Amino acid sequence: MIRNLFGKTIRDQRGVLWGWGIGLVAISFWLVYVYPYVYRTTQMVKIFDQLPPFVRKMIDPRMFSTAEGFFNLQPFSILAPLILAGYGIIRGANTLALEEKTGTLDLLLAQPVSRSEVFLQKTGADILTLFTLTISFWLGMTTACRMFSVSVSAGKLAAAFFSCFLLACLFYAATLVVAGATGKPRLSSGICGGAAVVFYLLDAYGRSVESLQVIQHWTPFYLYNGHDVVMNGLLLRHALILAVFALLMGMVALILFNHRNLHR
Amino acid sequence: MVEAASLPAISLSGVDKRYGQRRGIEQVDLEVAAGEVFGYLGPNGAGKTTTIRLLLDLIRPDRGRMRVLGLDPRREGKRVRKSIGYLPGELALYDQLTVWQYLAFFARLKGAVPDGDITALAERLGCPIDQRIGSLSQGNKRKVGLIQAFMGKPLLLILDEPTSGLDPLIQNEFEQWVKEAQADGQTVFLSSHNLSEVERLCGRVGIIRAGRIVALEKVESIKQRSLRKVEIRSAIPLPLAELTALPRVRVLHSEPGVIRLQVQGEMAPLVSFLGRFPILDMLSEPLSLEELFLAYYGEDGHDS
Repeated sequence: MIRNLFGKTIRDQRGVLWGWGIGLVAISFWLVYVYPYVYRTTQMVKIFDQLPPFVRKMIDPRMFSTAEGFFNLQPFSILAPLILAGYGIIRGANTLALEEKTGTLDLLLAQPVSRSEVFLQKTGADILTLFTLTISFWLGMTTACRMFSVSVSAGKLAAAFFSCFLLACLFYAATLVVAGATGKPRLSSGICGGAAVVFYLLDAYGRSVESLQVIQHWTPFYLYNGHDVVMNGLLLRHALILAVFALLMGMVALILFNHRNLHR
Repeated sequence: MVEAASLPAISLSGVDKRYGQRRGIEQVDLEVAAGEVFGYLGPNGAGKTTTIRLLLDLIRPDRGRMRVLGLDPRREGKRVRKSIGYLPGELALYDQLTVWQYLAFFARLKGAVPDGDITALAERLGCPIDQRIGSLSQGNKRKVGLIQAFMGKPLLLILDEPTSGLDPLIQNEFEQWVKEAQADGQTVFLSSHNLSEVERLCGRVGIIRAGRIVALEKVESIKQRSLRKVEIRSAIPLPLAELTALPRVRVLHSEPGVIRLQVQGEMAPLVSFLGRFPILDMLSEPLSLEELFLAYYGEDGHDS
């Protein structure tokens, strides 16, 4: 028996949860398994030692000498934000706007539920799903580290995944804003997916292009992992900014959704 | 839950709605009494669905005042919708759920749906309750929509093109449901572009054209001036002057052996007149809604 919209939204994502969850655990095991081989064959430490001093100053030597450093590059620089923020964007675009486009939202809102209730129950379920996926990624990594005797603090991994979860929440909320304003799922995911790529590039190049650093420090990707969370722990200030922005955007999305004419 | 009252079930006064440059409805004044079965007639794109979506607060009016069951559908939307059963014209359901799961979910959202209501209604329509909605035919999906609207006996039923896609047997059952709803004191707001359906079910109709209400009439008065198109094929030319002299008969077109007429009201005088001639064939059909509008209200929507 489906008791409410929250339960229905979770139920609708069961397949996704299983599929993505298993996939994330598999990725975790793969990354931890290949870590010693990658380091042995590429002799990264030696490469680092041969870099010019000014380059070495910019790079934390632990990147090439510790498991945390390796994991900071992969999954936390590319895979984890790509997967979790990508999932956030997809859900943000689909959760209300796709229902509006297909017409199921009409009948839902013709029931004695307010738009705010629909919004909060659906987004609450999405955030819980996103959190579950993050947890399964973290569990996969910590279990694999134990199995393959790779020494990484479970707490630091948790901090990095939590930061990534906040990043995904931010993109989820940003997509909700566009979806709440337009009711168009493809447009919403297109705009926010495009913005994510731009922010990612700004963050990546901001590390070496000085003129970009002012902007870089305000990109979501810098706030997420500019501090190299898995090596240095969570920077509370950055986490707070991500969380507050995500919350504010969620509120804007709710206001827009509440005040708009629904398409049909 | 809103109490049934002597207040009108629906009241719209000077309501405007535009979609940017596109017209929705203009200056709509409409009142539907509690317990009434009201037909809302109009061709596609006339503004029927816009009116319904305004009543449900899915869209908001640019101007005007609306009351549904005595309440403001915007500010007191939850209370209003607790007493509404709605069937959309373009029905979209959750395909991944079974019929039972879907209806039970909506019953929980509505609240106050007695146990057994769903199964009783499903049995009457022959709706396969254990099947996944995605595997149902359009007709069966429509049945799910009807059950969803009628379950819990809401005070106001808003039905947008309710019989489109239903087979004739189920249409008969639906008409029975509407009659029972009226007998139970429920109000039915039925939008349709099918005049004969509205004639059978409704006591009063509102006719909307190009976003404006062009007529609010009792069904009886429409029936009395019901118009038919008649085409007659005869072995010999018919006397046109005598034909046009018949009461409420107008010749639209004539050529040797074929005459097309428009007849208002009873056909008996025409049939008895034609009995004197060697008639080969006679075809009679009611005017389409669009033709009816042109005949009654002219191109600009004013009574002609």
